[in-house]
Amino acid sequence: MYGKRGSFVIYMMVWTVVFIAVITIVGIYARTQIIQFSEGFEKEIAIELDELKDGIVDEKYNHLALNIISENNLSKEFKESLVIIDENNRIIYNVPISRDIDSVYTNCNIASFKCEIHERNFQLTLENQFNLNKIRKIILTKDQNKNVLILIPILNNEDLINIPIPSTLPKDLEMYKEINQKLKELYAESLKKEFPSIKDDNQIIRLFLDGYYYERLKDYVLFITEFGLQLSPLRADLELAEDEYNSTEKSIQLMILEYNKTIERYYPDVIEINDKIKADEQKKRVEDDGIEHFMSDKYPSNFVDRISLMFSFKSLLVSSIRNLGQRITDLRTTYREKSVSEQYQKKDIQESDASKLLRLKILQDSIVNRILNNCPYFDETICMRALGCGQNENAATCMADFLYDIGDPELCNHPYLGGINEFEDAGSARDQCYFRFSKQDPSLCLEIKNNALQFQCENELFPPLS
Amino acid sequence: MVNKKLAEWLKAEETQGFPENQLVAFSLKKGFKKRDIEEAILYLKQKFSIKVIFKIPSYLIVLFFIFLLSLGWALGEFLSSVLLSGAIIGSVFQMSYFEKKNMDLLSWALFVTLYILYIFIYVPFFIIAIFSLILALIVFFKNKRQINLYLLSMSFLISITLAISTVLLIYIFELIIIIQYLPNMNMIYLALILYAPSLYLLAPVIYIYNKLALSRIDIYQLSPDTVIR
Repeated sequence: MYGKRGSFVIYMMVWTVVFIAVITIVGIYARTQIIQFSEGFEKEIAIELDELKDGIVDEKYNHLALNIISENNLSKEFKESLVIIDENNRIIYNVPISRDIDSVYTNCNIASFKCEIHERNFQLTLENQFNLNKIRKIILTKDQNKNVLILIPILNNEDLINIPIPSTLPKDLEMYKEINQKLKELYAESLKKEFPSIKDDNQIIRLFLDGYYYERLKDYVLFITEFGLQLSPLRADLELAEDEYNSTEKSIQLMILEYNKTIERYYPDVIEINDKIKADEQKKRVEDDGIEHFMSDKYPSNFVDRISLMFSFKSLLVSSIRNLGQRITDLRTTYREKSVSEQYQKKDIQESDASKLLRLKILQDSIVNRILNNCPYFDETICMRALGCGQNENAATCMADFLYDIGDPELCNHPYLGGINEFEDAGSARDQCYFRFSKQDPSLCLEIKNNALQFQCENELFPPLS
Repeated sequence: MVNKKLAEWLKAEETQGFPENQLVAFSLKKGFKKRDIEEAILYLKQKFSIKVIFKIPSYLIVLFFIFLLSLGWALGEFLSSVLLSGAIIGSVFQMSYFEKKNMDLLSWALFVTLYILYIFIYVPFFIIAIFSLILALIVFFKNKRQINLYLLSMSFLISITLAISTVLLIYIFELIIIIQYLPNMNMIYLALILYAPSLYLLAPVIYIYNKLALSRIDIYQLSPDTVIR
């Protein structure tokens, strides 16, 4: 090898052949792996999407059952069994559910929820008495002391989506209609969601190299995140509206005035908090994107690893993941802002007083949660300003005043007060909050954890006999 | 068994300026056996000393330590690279001492210990050292053992470390300068653009450094019948 003329050329020729051979073998192996990966990936996404859709469909069948139960004044406690038709056309269901039944509700109307009521013929099995081929599930409940079966029919997605959400709110209440419509749109959109499937191997390779699968994964995660971000607040709003509607003790007009006052007082602070969060996120994003950022202490300590990180950041996989993180943050920010700003814009629309009350309650709740959830993460200035706290005032006192101002003692036990201690005076704020509300409800003295304050609370309410 | 007295006499006379063939002829006349003379000469050629290490070009030795320490820093293993440098320098002096005192067994023990030490200090360097040793053994036996194995292994260790460092430098240069202008792309494309050229360069760079490191060691001038005609 050494010292011979032309040996370097031979050496390089051999090395080049070996190098090309290795790259070719790696390429062939990579191709097989990519095809396997894409098949697994598509299967996984399809299963996950089907599970989500099945969940929605199942929930809508439950809505139908609850609406039928409610419309026919049946017991809200029920058992259920799915009806399955196997490969041999046999009908399978939980047979014991059909025993000792007095009557069977069938052919229910999906708009009025009225059903035909038939006596159970014990000479025949359930499947012989009724055609169960088009039944999705059987519900066992009670009509006073009688056992009742409801046969829930198989419906197409369009009919299912149109079934209103069961609620204690009146169906003609504007606020109920609004929430129901939003949920309907969300479910309809989610049931339509499809991801295309690719079968051609060459196309799979080409798309993989172009980062198609990373984008697909990103789309799927964003879709699921957005679904959750839309669904959770709607459910929470409905629950809150039902509680408020059923527990209103004061005059509706008076409560509307109180809620309006709180909203007008704290809405600008929420806007300020939102702007601050947005600005912080934007600043962090710009910092994260700079090359010099990779050289900062945040990243691995040795030079080669930091440099290699730059390599990985140029790859579609890592850039997709980073982009996904940013998009999820953006989505969360958008929905958080929307939850307050959209409701605020609608707060003065013409509607019934009952609906207005629920709308304002929901809005006030969003504002309070926004302030409580974000105060612990901010420097004290912005948080204290939002709470109307002076420079030399104690943060816990201000927080307690704020909670008292809102007028809901349940907020004293908010997760950020006394539970999660990001807010350094959280425990103190919690105790002071209960102390203030104890004037309305003396039992709240027992919730105070600080012994001295609890003693003071009890003494003020029940002064010792002298 | 080598006749060490004969070997020492031959070395002393060679230092006085007598050519090797005259010394061989004189030894034969004195009644030494041809086989004993051959073994004594081979023994001398295998001897190691501080002077011998400078058969490796000094600029390569300096560059080796600079690269070794820089590589240690870049990989977050600076202390290991300092320890490795210390172990290598220490072993050269120790080896020279043992050889001077004809402590052959201790020389071999030191040689083996050095490799064990590499494992404990930094495993990747041990792998480079083992690769260097394999190349050194090939050259050692190809040249009928007429050269010191420790010297050969050192020269290969220096050339391979320099080659790897050079390629790594090229790779870092690519990352710092080129990567900024590349759009986001699949890892496979990135590897083909950045890793593949660096890996391809590794072989010619090792070749060039080996050539430089071995250029003053007379392994190519030795013919099979150099020792005794």
